[in-house]
Amino acid sequence: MTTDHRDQQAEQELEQELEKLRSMLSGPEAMEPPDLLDQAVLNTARREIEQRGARRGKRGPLRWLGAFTTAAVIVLALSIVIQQEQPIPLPAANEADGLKLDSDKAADLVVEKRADAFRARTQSSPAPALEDVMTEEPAALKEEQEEEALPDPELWILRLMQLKESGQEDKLAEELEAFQKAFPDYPLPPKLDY
Amino acid sequence: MRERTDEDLMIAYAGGDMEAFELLYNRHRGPLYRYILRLAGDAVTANDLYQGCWEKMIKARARYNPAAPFRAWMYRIAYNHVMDYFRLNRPVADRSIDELAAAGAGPEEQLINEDQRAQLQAAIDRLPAAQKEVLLLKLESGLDLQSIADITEVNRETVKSRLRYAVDKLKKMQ
Repeated sequence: MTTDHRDQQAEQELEQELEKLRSMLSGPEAMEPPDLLDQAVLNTARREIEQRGARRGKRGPLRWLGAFTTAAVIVLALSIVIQQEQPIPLPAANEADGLKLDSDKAADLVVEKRADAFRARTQSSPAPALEDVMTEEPAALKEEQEEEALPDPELWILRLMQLKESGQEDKLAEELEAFQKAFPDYPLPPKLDY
Repeated sequence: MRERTDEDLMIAYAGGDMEAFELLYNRHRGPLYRYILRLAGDAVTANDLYQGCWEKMIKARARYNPAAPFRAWMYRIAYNHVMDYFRLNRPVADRSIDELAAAGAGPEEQLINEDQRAQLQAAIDRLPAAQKEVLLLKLESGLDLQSIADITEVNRETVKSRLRYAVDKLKKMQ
């Protein structure tokens, strides 16, 4: 007979003894809780359920809001922490050439992009016909060119005065004529007014 | 239709099903009450403790794990509740025979078996507290040795040994 077998047998005998005790102890129905006690327990159980229902009802459809807010705050905090913790990688010495190469490439890219943008602009707004370009000469442009060519009248006058003082009468007469042609109404100083 | 298990009923009650609780309560009210009454020794104390046990179970319903047998869970709460009470008040083994005899006394107690039962109850009362605890748990809850070991926080062999000693002593006392 093994030890396990002996243990099992001993447990069975114990169970039989306990069963005898149980039957001796099992008495009349009076060994049950009084009705009032039953009622008190059941009332407590009912009240707990009702109170929980009332609390749920009170919180209503916004009960997810608390959890949602908490989750949002956690996500925000984590993202800040992660961003602060990521160090900016410093290039190693042997990577410097690579970086230079990268910056050259980037510059090329920028030039290329600009060229593309220019091409797109010129393609999207159709160019005027070649004949129009050849025949038309905008009046405004012409006037602009003339204005640009004219010197400042005050400076011109100053130059005229210098010619007079230096006794270059021929040159002065020539310049004065040109000035009066350019600014016919511009008042001349008495020294130059002939 | 298959009878709903204690575990199903407890989960249903935790979800708000009052009928499930009533079924569960009716299944366990008698054995739990007798366990507490025999341990406490007087009806007034037993009533308070019994009500307190159920209140604890009701409050703990959301934490109930159906992986654990309901009966073991219930008796663990009851055991802890009663032991807490006696730790603050008087020890279990201090009950007098008169007190025990008075416990649960009613008209039906005057039957032929009354003497025998009273004697047995008195003998149980004279057992050392540790033996009395496991004996009453075993007699009223019907739990297996391992569950009782879990509840009383001792190993299975200790429970078996305490039961063996208790049974032997009761035989001698009677």
